[in-house]
Amino acid sequence: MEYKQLFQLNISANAQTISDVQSVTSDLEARIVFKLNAGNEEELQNVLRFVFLSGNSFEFWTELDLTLFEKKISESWLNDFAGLLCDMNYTKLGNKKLVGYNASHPHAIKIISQIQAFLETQGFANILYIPMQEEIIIDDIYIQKINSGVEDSAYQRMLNTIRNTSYPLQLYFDLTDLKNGPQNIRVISESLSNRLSQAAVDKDMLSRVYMLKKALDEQNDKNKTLHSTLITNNTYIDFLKSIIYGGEEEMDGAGNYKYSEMIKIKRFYHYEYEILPLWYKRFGHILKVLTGKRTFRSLFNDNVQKYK
Amino acid sequence: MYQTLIIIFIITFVMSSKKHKLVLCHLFYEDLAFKIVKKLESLNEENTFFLFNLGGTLHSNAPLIKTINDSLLNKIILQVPNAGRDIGAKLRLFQVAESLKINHDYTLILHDKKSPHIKDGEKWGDELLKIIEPDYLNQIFSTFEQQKNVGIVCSSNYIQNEYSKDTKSFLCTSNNIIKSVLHTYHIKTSNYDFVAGNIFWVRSQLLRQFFGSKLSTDKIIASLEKGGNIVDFSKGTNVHAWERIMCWIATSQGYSIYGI
Repeated sequence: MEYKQLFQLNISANAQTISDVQSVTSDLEARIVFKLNAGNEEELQNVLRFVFLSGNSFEFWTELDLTLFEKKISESWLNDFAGLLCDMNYTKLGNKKLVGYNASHPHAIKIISQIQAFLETQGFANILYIPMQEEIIIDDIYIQKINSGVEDSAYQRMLNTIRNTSYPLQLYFDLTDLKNGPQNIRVISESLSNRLSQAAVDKDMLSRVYMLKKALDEQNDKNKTLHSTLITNNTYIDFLKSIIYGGEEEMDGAGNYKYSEMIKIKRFYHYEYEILPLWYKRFGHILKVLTGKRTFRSLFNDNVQKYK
Repeated sequence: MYQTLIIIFIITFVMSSKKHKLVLCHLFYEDLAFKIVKKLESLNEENTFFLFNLGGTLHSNAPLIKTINDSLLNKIILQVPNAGRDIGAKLRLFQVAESLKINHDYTLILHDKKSPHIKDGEKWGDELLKIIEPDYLNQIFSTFEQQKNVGIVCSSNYIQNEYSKDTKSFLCTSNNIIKSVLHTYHIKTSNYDFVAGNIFWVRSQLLRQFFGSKLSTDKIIASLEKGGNIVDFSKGTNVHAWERIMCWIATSQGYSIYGI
């Protein structure tokens, strides 16, 4: 669909409506936003099973409803939520996974901090926690909730805003709030797409900005892995140097490197034994046999006992 | 005599093929990832469930994802955050399998071991991976069926033991961390054998028993070093400590390690 270049559809679902919503999102090339009650283990289990075991592939992110929150979110729920975040199709923008929450809850900050603290211990450092409102601009990302149609003033505001962000506009629909649900989403999307297409300069420029931003994010991701590998390799080189030089690469007064004990012994062996003529070393082996320190057979066969 | 042996073999084969298998596989290197997925096809059947973690940049490797999807029946592909190298990923994969209540009797724990900093590092990985070669699979499952005291089956060449009874310490840089973890979580064993390289088959009940009663996987993951630069050349790490302790999950419950 043409409008995918300029904006992305996001449609909310809960554990009961997943199957219905998924058929709509797949038709409209939209993402699912799972509305989860923070702490409800059974609901999250159902969503987990649907995501991982239904055999359907779809992009999604989550919005946490904190209404049912009581005292503390269980470790079991937190672990299941961490598992859900690991799904390959979990939405990432700017290499950050999106987690929305209803900011109107009086203890919202406290609850989200608890979830964030747990997830950070599990290695989830790149998560964007989004306080959901009608219109949100956060980390260069613009999310607009659509409840009915888009009026002229709202359209103009959207157009002005997307000129200053680097990701496609995220249109968020709640199917339960919309009359004629999917049909309405299609009408709104196409109308918006037509209006944006009329502003041809904006459309082409914006598409290019989004494309380049996506490429940049992918390169940053690769860069991170390469940087990490580089650090590991440098650490190994330092380790090898420490074996050779016994720590710092220091020189003595005569301008020679100071070597570690191991290297000193190796050099001693080399200069005291290894550089002797071959015939001399072989005579030494025969001498060992004659003095009973080595077996006679070992002179001719490497697979027999060498020393007595 | 021969007839009896053939009957025992057939019974063992039928029984083991009915057992459910779980494969927890962490991949990081593109060249090895394809090779391992290809090898894992020998385990591809209705009773086997595969969980993959695509580390590094592999999560955006469309050909690899397609190969996994096309060649394996029951599979889930994840992108686990980089916490605790392969150990952290394997623990997270196990936690997801448990959350989804996947039925399994034997678990294969593996990763694309390369050890680029070690001479013959790839050979080490190849040797460890012989436990997924078709020639060895029957032997592995019949060992589990017939020797009830065997908890882990792995490549015999890499069963190591670093414990010194004289000094009551482990001859590795992670000695102090290992001792601390064993003490904190009351893990007691007299057999400190471990699989160097952390690739092995294990009875699933031992993992469930350990993580259910002693400590949860998230507590271990929380203790592991984050990021990619986790080496134990001169200083021990929690990751390298757990690389060893993973095998003592079996030995601490009275089971042994069997090498093939």
